[in-house]
This record gives sequence, C-alpha cells and structure tokens, in this order.
Amino acid sequence: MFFSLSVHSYCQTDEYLMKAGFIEKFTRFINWPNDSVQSDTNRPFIITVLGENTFGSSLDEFYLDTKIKNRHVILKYISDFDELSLCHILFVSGNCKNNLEQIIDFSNKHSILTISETKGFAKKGILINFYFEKNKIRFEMNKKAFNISNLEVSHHLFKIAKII
Amino acid sequence: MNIKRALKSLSIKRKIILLILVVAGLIESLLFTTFMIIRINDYKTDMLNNSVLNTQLIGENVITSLTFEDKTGAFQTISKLGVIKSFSNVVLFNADGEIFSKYPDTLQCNIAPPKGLVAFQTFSGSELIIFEPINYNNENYGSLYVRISTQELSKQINDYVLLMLAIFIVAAILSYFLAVKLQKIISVPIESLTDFTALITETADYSLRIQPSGDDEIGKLYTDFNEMIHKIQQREQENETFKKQLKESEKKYSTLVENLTDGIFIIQNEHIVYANQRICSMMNKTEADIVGSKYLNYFNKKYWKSIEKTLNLINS
Repeated sequence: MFFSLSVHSYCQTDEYLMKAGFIEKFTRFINWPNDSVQSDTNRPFIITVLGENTFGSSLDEFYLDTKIKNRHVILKYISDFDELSLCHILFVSGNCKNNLEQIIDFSNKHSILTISETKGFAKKGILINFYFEKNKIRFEMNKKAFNISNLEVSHHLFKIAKII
Repeated sequence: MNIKRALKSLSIKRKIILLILVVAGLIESLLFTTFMIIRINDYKTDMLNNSVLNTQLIGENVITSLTFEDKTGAFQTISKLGVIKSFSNVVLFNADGEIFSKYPDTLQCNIAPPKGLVAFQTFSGSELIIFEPINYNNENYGSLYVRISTQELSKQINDYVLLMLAIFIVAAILSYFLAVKLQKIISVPIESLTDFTALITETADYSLRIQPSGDDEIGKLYTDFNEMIHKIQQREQENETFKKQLKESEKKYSTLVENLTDGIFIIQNEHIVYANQRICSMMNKTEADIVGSKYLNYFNKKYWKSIEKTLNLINS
C-alpha cells in the first residue's frame, strides 16, 4: 500500500513544508539504538542537510515550534561531506551523488537516518527517498539498508512505503 | 385442591411416572437453561472479542494513514472490515476527533468520538457498537467507531435454542419411556400385593401366601403380610374350634335345661329371654307368650320386693 498526497495545487514551499512534516512523522516510527549518542534524550535532535538546500526556509519554519521525540530540533546546513558530524537525520541532496557511498558508510556506522529526494538514491543505500507519482508525494524505503543501519523501524512505516 | 385430589386418586404406577417426569423435567430445564445462558454468553463474548480484535488490527493498520493523512490508504484499510458481512459501518476519526474516513463512503453520520477516548463495547438493539482509540507509542492517532450487526449472533442463538429444545423433547420422551419401564420395579410388587389382598378378601382363603420379590421394604411387607394372614388363619381356626365347642356345650346345656323337672326362665333387664318346657307347662303358656314379658308379672305383687332383693343380692 502506498500513501499519496496530492501536491499539484501546492507551490514548492508547500511541498518542502510537507516534506519537513514527513521527516518529523518518520521519527515517530524509528528508534535509535539504545547505546548510541542519538538516543540520549538530554541532547537536542539534529537534522543535517547536506548539499544544496532545496528546503529553503521550510525546515526552519516547520521546526521553529515543533519538537521531535519531545526534544528541540537543531538544523544544520552543510555543503561538504567533510563537515558532516554526528546527527539523527541526514538529508542528502541530489548534488551529493559523487560521494554517496562515503555518506552512506558514515551514516550506517553512526546510526544516522538518511533521507533524499533523488531517483536511484534509495537503491544505492539511502534509507528513505521521496519521489512523485501522479503529482503526489510518495516515499520508498530500502529495507536491506535499514537492516544494516541498526535503526529500529516500526513495521507500520513499511506498510505505507514502496519497498526497495 | 382439585389437583391434589386428582393426584391422590392416581394409580401408584402413574404417580411414579409423574414423579420421575417432574424430577427429570426440572433437572433437564435447569441444565438446559444453564447451558443456554453459558452458551449465549460464550457466543456474545466470542463475537465481542473477535470484533474488538478485528477493530484493533484495523486500527493498527491505519496508524500510518492517519499520520501521513493518507485518506485513500485509510479507506482501503477500513474497507477490509466491510468484507466481514456483519460489519455494517466503520468510521475512522483522526486525533482531532474529525471524521477521517468511513465505510461505506456514502455513510451519513454525525457521530463524534466520546470524551476521554476510552474504549467501549456495547450491545445495543440488533447491533454491537465498538469504539476503539488508536494509540501508538503512548500517543493517540485517532479512533475507530464500528457498528456490527448481531443478526448472525441472533441466528446462532436461535439455532442453539432450537437444538436445545429438540434435545429437551427427545430427553423428555426418553425420560417417559424410562419412567414407564423403571416404575415397574416399585409398582409391580405393590400391584401384586393389592391383587393378592383383593383375592383374599374375595375368597376369604387365609391359606394363600404371596411370594416375596426381594429383600427390600416391599419384600419385608410381603413377609409381614404373609405373617399377618398366617395369624388371621390361626385365629380363624381357633374361632372355628371355639364355635364348635360352644355349639356342643350349648346343645348339652339346652338338652339338660329342657329335660329338667324344674321350671327355668332367664331374665335380662327384667324381661324373660328364655323359658324351658317345664315352666311353660307349669304356667300353661307357650314359650312365645312368656319370652319378652316381665318376669314379675308371674309373681304375686306382695313378693315382688323380696324377689327383687334376692335377685339383686344374687347379681351383686
């Protein structure tokens, strides 16, 4: 079963606001390993955008007063892989395809949830990838990659996603 | 009162049959009623548990649809409940208590989830109503309101009641035949004793005996009855002997008195009840004239007092 949301009547900002909302919703069904730094509830929740920031100000607007797992959200925008540090969610832009393998390796080692919106990224190992179908936002999940990542995912999330 | 009288006039055979049937009927009724109550409760509990389980499963499956506001997916999921014939209406509310999806989609409803979002199940008329909050990780995502037709349940209960009724009738018939058969154990010896008593009354033959059928109370009754007849027979024989002796004695006494040269009459309550031939001839009267008359009439009045005195003296 796929979920779908029509975006034909939304402008691009609305699309990224929706994607920002989806990211928060993903976290409801994902748990970080108990022995990981990310599971420390005293630390803020960190979302990093690597590469081109297609969200514009949507992420900032959305997470201004929205918490994830009852924790404040810190947004980081970085353009280079070398700047990448420990975070909970890593949004990988389309222009990162050259060092995607490194990104995925780093993410898997540090239990980072990787999200993208570029065709083929999920197949390469990105955990969740947004795509459009009939003007509706959908997402695909790489089940094999999830098994490697050590992230604990609820079966509920798989029900609604396209499984790679 | 009439029933009591009618019962009393029933034969022992019918009384025993009636008794067995009443006892068996009461026990059967009690058992069948208990079974029916238990079974109906089981049917209801089964239906309730299955329906709640199905509702909870569907609730689990719509969590992501509610999260990602996927109405199409939510409708597809709740439609699965519609496949179950008895699920007539399904309404899915979101966390704000607004209708998110419903089945059938043409359903007109103005219901709202109850305050406090507490799960409830209730049988109302011909429906089972279930309200089930949808929670995940201690967070409410919405709720499901389901109306299920209890027609199938009613049919199951009716079928069961009919089956029990059929079993009850068969059991009652069996009880009757068993009662007819078993009552003979008690009634036949009693009837035999009754017939035997009637035979003795009719023939007055106390030499007859009844054969005891067993060692129970009835067997003892037979033995005692035989003993009683034996005693009656003995008494009868003694009576006969006494009668015979008395008759002979009377005959001797009568011959003696009749042949006496002295006149004798016997007095009872101042009247003569017997007079021998000698006194009849002495008085020149027949026995019929004398018997029944007052004895004093045959004496001079001046002796009456002394005669009475003498007789009183004799009597005392």
